[in-house]
Amino acid sequence: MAFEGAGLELAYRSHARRLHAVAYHVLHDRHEAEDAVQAALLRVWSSGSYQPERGPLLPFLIACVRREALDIVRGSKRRAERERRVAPPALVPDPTAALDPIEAQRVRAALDRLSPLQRDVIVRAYYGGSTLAEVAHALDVPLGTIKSRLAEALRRLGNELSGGTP
Amino acid sequence: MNDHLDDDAELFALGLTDPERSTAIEAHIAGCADCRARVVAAEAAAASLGAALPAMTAAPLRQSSRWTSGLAAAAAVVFAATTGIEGVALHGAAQQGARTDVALGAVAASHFGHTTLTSPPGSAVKVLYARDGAWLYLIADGLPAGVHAVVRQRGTQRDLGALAAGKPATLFVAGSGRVSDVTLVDGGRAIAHGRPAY
Repeated sequence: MAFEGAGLELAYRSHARRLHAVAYHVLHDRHEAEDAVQAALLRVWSSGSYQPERGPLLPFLIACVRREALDIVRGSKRRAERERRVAPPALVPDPTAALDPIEAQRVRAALDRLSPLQRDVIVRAYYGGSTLAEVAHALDVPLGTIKSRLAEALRRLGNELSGGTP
Repeated sequence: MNDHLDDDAELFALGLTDPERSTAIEAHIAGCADCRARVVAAEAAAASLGAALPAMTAAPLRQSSRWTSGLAAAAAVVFAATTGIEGVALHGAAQQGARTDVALGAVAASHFGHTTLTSPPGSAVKVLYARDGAWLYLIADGLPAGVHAVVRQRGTQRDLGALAAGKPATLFVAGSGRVSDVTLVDGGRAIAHGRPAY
């Protein structure tokens, strides 16, 4: 008898803080953030979609959770339309502390080395929670330009973080 | 399948592709090592961006209508005697994070079974193991001090050292061949024993 659910719980226990923070940042609702994390993990384990050659587990899970959270936003599956649960979540955001202060410092330094346009699109799309269409509208540039600029910015950021050439 | 991802690799890693496109991308990178490497690199960069988000205190795992009863029940059975993997009793705290990630990766990617070891009153010992014998994960709770885990691999006994007393302890064994027996030894006396049923 296989117990895929145990792997799911192990991942939850180890990475809950990171995963919740990512979901919460998108949803701004603690219940919905928990739903997004649980739905993403359940999807991963019920489909068996993760294999070691897919890459390191945590970045993969973070991407899955962020996609799930953004799907909730995009699909108007918002909690306002659903029944609110009675049990309060024990999840407390702490805006005074970064999730990973050392890594956060490294990220800020790497962002500083991007071009202003690249930094701006990452800040708007990732930290600002804007959709690509909203960013395109705000900057008055075509959507395709925003997509390629954001992709290039993330590639450059990855190079900066891994110590490679920009 | 032969169309490479271009900018979609990064947009996918940031969660900015729609669900249909995301499904197509997962299918593509399963068979395309170049695009998979790009997605993995992009996911690493995206995860780093997340490190600067505000910290949060984790909630305990909560029953939800989103969970199938089977999965939730399975998780509850296997982990009934533990309170998590924070008390990992491995070889030095510095290695705990890395080893935990190795354990998670292996557990996540495998089909596995479990067995409960007979153990002294007040303690509970369970073993999860990969069906293919690639790894074994021991979870113990409420053990007295000084208990060692001894495993038999390829006919040879290996003492893996002392487990944490009282609090939940875990031990991940991989890479040295299939474990045929697990024994917990206290002062030279076996107090718990079990065999994975591969």
